[in-house]
Amino acid sequence: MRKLVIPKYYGRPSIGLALFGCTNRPFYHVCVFPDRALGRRYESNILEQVGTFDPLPNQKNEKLVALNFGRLKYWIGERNAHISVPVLELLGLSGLFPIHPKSFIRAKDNRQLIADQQLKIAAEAAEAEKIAEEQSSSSQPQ
Amino acid sequence: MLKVKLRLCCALARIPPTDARFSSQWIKVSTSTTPENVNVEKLFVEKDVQKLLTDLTEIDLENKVFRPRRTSIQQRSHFALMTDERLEKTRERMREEARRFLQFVPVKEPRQESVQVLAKDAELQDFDTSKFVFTDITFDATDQDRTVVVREPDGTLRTANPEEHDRMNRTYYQKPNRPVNPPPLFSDPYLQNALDKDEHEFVLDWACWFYEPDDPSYIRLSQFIFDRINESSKFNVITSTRHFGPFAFYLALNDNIPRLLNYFGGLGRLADCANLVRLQKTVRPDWRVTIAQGDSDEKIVKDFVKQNARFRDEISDLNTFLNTGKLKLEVEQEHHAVRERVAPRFGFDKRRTRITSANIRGADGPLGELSEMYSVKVVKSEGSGEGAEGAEKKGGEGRGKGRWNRRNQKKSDDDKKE
Repeated sequence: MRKLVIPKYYGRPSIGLALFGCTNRPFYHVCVFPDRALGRRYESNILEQVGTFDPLPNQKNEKLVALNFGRLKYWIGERNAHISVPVLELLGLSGLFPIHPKSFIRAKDNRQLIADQQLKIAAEAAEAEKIAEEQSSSSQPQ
Repeated sequence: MLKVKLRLCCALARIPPTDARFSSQWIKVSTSTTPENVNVEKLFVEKDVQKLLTDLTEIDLENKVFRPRRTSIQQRSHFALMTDERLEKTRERMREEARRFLQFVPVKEPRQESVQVLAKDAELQDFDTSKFVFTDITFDATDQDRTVVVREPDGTLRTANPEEHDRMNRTYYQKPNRPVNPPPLFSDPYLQNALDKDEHEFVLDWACWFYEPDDPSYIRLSQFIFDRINESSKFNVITSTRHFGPFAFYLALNDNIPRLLNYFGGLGRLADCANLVRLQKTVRPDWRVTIAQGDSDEKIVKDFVKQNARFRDEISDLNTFLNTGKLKLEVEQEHHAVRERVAPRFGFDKRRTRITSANIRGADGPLGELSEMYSVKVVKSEGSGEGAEGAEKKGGEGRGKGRWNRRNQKKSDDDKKE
């Protein structure tokens, strides 16, 4: 039999991102969810919305994050909420928490990707030059 | 308690050190020779300066403060029958309300554009292609002390500059008529159009609502508009508004008052002239030219004119008023009359051209040279007396009935054709 509890005051809440956008337009709310032990049934009973995250950059190439730090401190400090990794990353970037290892990994991967691309471009350019030189050298003696 | 203390500390930390500020944004270096370290904010709120500015801002109830304007509130004019006493009381009440409307926009130094770097993480470089802007939306953070930080793509964490800070405020705390991005009205082609249409007050009001008073772009915009008003001498667009105080203060601070002085002189407002001179001497104290205790208004103005002979060309109206006691309007009328006498056109005043039965068919009439090509028929219309005598009427009269008349005329023409 299911326990009769008030989700808001029961157990250990968790903080995570909830997708609130529509088709082809992701938009997240940073939300506090009730204890996982209550099951999937209670996942939609969001306790509080403590912020928003807009993953699409705006005209000035900014991704906007709004966080209610006062309430976040309450949920984390007093209620010992469990925080999901995406939110941990955001909090790390915002300077409230130490930067999450995953951010470092992502940064490293991105740098690697950029370096590879540059190498590729350089190689292509060199190849094109070589071909051009060959053509010019083959055309001159004739 | 701790929270309040912390907030206080934050507020104190936000105030820029006054000693470090050498020159003010409100003083244009090219035009002025004022001492460098003047605190403009403090000077503006000083009691005597405020008194002078309030006196300079006349309260024009009917034409300015309570004139019909574009609002979203629908209001009808209200008519009432009153005794003299009650009328006087009502007027006083309206004046009191107008004083509240005319509260000056504060003159503030722009916020500092420099940002503070909070952390540098080289390891975090290229974690994303775009910036992340974090805004604190805690319930009790105000628009001024809200924390906004930016994480750059190269891993630097810094505080937001004033533009970003205010944009975030506008994004997360919306107010009517305050869009996120500055409206095109504040940038050039549209701003120029608005100023050409004498919409200075509208632009300034909206800018005041849209920006914070210490926003660098607000200060730039308002100074631009003030300069335009001064250059074109269109002072009547800004008198009796809440922007007149900062405007007069700005002019006085930059030693640029002769045109405004001339405007007041042209209207014959000697007390305002004297107040303006007093204001300038309070704002830019100079021991060589001070005002004695018992000087009358006229003496103050005359002394100013004498001391500033270099402005002679710009204050011609004031000089005329001081020497002959004639206002600008009277002088212009006289000029007009003289011109009329020298070259009388058609033997009567052109401004009061009348259409009479004598000239309606000729070249002097409303058709001018076209009268040679068209034959003019005079048709009696309803309500106007007998034919030829009835055709004599003023040009402006009967404008409301024009359409009706025209229709009638057409019909009668048709009748005649038949």
